[in-house]
Amino acid sequence: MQDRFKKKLCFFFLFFVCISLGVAQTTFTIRVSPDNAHGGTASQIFDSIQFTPLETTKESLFGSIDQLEVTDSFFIILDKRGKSILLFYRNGKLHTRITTGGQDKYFNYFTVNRNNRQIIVSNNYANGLLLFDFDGKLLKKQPCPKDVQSLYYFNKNIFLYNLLRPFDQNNSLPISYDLAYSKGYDSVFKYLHPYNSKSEDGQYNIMYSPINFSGQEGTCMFSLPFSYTIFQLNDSGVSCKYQFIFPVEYSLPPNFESDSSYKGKRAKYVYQDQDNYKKVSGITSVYRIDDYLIFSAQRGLMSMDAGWNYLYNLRSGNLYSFTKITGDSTSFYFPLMSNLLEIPNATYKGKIYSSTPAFRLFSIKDNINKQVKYPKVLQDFFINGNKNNNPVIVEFNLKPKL
Amino acid sequence: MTMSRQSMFPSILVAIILSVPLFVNAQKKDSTFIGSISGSVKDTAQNYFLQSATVSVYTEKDNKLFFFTLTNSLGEFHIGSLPLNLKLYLRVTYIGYDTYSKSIFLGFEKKSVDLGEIDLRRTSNTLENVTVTPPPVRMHGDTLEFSAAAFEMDKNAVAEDLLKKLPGVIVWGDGAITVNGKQISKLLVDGKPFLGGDAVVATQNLPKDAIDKVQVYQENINSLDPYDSTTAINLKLRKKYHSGYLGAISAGASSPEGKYDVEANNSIFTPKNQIAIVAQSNNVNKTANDINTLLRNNTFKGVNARIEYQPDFSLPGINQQSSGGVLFTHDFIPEFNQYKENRLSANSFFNHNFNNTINQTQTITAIGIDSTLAQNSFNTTRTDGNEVHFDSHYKKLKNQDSLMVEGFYDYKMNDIQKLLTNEVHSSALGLLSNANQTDTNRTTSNKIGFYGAYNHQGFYNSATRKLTNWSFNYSISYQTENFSRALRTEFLNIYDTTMNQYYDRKYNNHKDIVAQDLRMNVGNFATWLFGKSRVLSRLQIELSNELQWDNERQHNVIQDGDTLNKLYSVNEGLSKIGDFKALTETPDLRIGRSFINVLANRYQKEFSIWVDSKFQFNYQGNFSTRSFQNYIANYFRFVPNINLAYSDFQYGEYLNSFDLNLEKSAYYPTPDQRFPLVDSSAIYAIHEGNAFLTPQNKYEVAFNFHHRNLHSKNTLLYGFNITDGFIKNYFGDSTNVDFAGRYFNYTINLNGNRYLKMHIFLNKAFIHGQHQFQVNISSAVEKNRNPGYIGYQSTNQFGFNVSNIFINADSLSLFYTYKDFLALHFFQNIYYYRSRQNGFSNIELGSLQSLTRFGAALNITKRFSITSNVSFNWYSYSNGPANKFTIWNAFLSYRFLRASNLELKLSAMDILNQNKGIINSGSNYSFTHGTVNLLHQYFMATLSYFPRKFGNNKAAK
Repeated sequence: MQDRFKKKLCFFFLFFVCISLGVAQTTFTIRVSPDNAHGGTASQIFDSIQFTPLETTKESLFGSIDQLEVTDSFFIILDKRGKSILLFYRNGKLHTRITTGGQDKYFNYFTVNRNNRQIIVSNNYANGLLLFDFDGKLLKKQPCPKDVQSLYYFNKNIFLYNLLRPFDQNNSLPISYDLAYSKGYDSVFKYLHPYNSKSEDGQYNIMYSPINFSGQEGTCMFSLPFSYTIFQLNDSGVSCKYQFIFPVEYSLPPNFESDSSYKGKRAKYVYQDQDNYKKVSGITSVYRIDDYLIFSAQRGLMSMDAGWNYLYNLRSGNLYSFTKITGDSTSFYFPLMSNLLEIPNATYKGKIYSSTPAFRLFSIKDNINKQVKYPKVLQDFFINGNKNNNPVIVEFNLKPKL
Repeated sequence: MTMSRQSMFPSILVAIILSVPLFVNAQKKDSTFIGSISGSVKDTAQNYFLQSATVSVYTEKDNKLFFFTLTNSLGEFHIGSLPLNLKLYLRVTYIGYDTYSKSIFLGFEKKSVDLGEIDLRRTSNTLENVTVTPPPVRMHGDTLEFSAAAFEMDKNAVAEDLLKKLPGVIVWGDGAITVNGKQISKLLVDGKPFLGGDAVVATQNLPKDAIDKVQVYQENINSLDPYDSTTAINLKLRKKYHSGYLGAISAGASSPEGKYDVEANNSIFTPKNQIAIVAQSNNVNKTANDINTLLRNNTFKGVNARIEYQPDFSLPGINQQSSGGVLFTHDFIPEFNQYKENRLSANSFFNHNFNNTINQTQTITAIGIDSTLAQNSFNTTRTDGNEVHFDSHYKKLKNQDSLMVEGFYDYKMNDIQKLLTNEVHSSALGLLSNANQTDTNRTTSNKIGFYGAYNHQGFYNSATRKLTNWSFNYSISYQTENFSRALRTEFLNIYDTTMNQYYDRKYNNHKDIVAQDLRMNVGNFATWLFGKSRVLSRLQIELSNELQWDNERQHNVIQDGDTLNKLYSVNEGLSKIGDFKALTETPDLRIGRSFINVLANRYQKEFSIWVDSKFQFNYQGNFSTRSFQNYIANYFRFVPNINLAYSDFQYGEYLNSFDLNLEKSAYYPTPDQRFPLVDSSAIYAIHEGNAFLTPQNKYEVAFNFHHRNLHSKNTLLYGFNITDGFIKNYFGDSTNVDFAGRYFNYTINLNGNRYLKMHIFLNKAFIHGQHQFQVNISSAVEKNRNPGYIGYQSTNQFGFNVSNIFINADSLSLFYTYKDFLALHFFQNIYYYRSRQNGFSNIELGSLQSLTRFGAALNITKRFSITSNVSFNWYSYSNGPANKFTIWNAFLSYRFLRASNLELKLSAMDILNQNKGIINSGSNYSFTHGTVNLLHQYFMATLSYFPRKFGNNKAAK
């Protein structure tokens, strides 16, 4: 009786708070103990898993998937080293390939305007954003703020830019911002996430994807290296915060990102100092699917099975490590997102998308001594392909209520 | 996030274990071995299957390990070919979990057992899992750990015997150790190099019982260049074995009497300190010039068919050597790896060499058209040399910075007594002259030196403009040398006795040399200069500088004796006080660029180009009391270097490397070439000067290719290299033989020098069950075109001559070993030399040599072994008869005592007593052939004792 009353009171209180604040900003505190994460079999965690080998021809051969976006018709893949953006149909066949065309010209990051079927790409040579359509045709070049590292497009012609932190502190303003909202391409109306550029520096511009579609319509996730706070942002600001807490031996020292005594030494601390290899250096590839949070915990440790990718149930607090999920018939006995080469790349309509290099499938297949009935696409892949083929896209459908 | 990394090594190591049937005890494959056990290992509490859990099967009766494996990626295991009707028990272990055990009996009715999901519980112990019998293998992070206790072996087995039993680890006949085809970069004991770091010293001495774990791991893993990682093995010792004593004492006596061979080694090691004291003395042509040779060849286990530290029957003369030394290392911190090191080591070595050589040679010099001079010599030389060396070395390494400091002291004293008689004949006129010489000299030298190096490796961050790497090293040495000599020469001219010469000369020369070298290297400046420019900041720009500064003082007093008064007076012409300074300064601007083409997980191709714009400034100043020797010379040269390199790495397949280097370098004339004091007592090598000598410039192109197969555990390596070049203003030789037959020479700048060297090689090793094969093939060709002047006053001829030299050397080497039982070695080498004269002379001189060697080692029982080797030698030189002889050696050895540490060895050396010392060598337009005395047949019995002690008890002999 008393409990029910308490619950009702809480709800009323929250209701009032939400009304008064206008925007509901929730903060989730997520305690992750890697050693105590759970596992399971593929059948217990996933409803279904689908493999889509990507066509391997002279035109479609690419290196690795640095960024993946999924639409109803396409897989859109950025291969930075290969200076290309490739569009494959959902069945794996190549549709078109966009290249930068130059030795030192690179695409950095892209976002997708699904309504207009456009790909907007930040790059290092065009002095602005490049717009392509889904057939690979260059539409136009658009100006944008200086130093855009990555970006996200909200449907109401609003862009969110993640700005590079300056390398040379002397030329920057005392207070700078990581995020800028822009109406259209080059009209900034709001800044978010201030930082003191005197005590923090270009070491933050590490190559990885700080912004990605969150999995929830109209929002994206933003993360920074050396930080355990993830922001979920909509077209006007922060809608949700996820605060990660790790056990002491896996954590960076407190205030690592803001303490000026670490200035200029953060990257070395995390990547080179042997003693710190176990500590989580940042959180990336964060996706929200209903009550689930999927994320990767980065570490300096160069070990294949360091256990990077996790699944967390926000309601029950259950934590799963993908390294501990064993393949079974649902996954055709392939292990899933269990090591460095396979991270969650994207989410779309409630499914997670990852990729695996061809050589891995071949070498695991040779070591599985079970009768496996592979789906036709995989049978064809094993017969006609080899370890030098393009990576294979894997689509996961999570079971509810884990 | 993507990092195209390829750290597949843990999975590869696990794959090895799973794919190789691992029957630890030899068994018969008969029809009773058809049982099987399968299952999977799970942590039910966290609901996941454990990969790489250790599953081992023991026989219950005597607790012997029968089989072990690791679970696969699904947590499953399947063990087949198990014996029926035998009580077995199964153990499953995983780090951090309690061990699971179960007794299993397989019978004809139930040949296979499926244990289903085996549940492991997290251990409640906070300390590491301490079990009675540790698992035979487990993955500990990225380290593959084998537990020595799980492998039962003979009680006298050593570490090498254990390594041979580990799956994936191969110990080859030539001593190399590979893991999955990759040769290990180092073998450590308790995390540190053992007694100098030679793997053999550790693996053939440490008893298998002393080892707790064998750890195999990767180091230097570079995320962009996975083939850069190196494999290392660490032998972790058991608790009471962290300290120990290893010794070896042996003494041998011979028939016929007079030959002896004694050796003693003592080594003590503790966690922080290691000391080795070694000594030997022999007169059977065994040469040990460093501590490692003695440690390496006097191990408990002993060598097999490797022919290393053995009497060298080709060494000229009768030799006696006593040598020995002390090696000491101290570790300040327990770590010793690519990031951390803090170690002090000191070495001291003494060497006493006595040699008595008698040789008889004929040197033919092509002196004109169809005209030669033949010089017949008979020479007896006694050399008595003593050397004491001491050095000390300190290294500290911490992440990006390393400091190395080294100091050494060297003392040498050499006494030489020479008796020489010579006759010169000409093909036209017959005997021209003869000479007798006695020469007694002593050289004493003291040298002290210091070397320091500091290296800073910046953390590469493309965003910063900070200077990333810098290094410098500096060395200085100070040497004083005293040379005293008494020389008597009598020279008789057959045709004209007025040209007879007699010298009674005494030398008292003193030299002081200070040599310094400073090198610096700083980079990369590109991001400083070009900021964010995409193209230019990709360059690598470095500055490098080398400064050499030498200072030499000479004080020479030469006296000539008067036959009448028996008094010695100073020879003003040859005595002098001199001071020579030389400075060479070489600044270098290095600009380079690399291009990488990577297709993640498939290939990595890299092309780089480096251009060194190097200038060299050479200053020489010579000041002497003989004023004509004074000079100051300055030379300034541009000596660039261009290097292009390409590597093609196909993941899991092969690595091809190509390297092309173009270089120009300069060599500067010395005071001795320009203004020597001419010493006519040298008769057959009177050296004159050439004041007009200018530096010679060498232009060289070198190309290198090599291919390494990465596919399987059997190695394949092949490659070739070509070097082609020419020297402008080549320091050619101008030799003039006067009427009396005395040889005068001086150096002259000539053009027309050219050289070419080519070499190809192939190494293949493969294993087939218990058989190991290794093949090494090598072939080299060298061509030299050397211009010079030769002249012969008697025929009044003097002219330009080119010597075209052609050399070809081919060798084939085969190794075969079968278990620990038999080792065979076959070696064939052919060497061909030819020199053709063009120009002033038309003579052709040459030689052909062949060596065929066959060796076998048979371990008949664990205690008794037989070794034998035979070499067929064949030598011939142009126009002469061929010399052939066969040297056959055989050894029998037997080990006594329970610990197998007392050995009796019987050696029969040169059983056929055919050994001949043949001299066959040529240069430009002369060729020398002849014989020299050397070691012959003898029989020796050697007794060796290997005391060993481990633990806290004091060392007992």
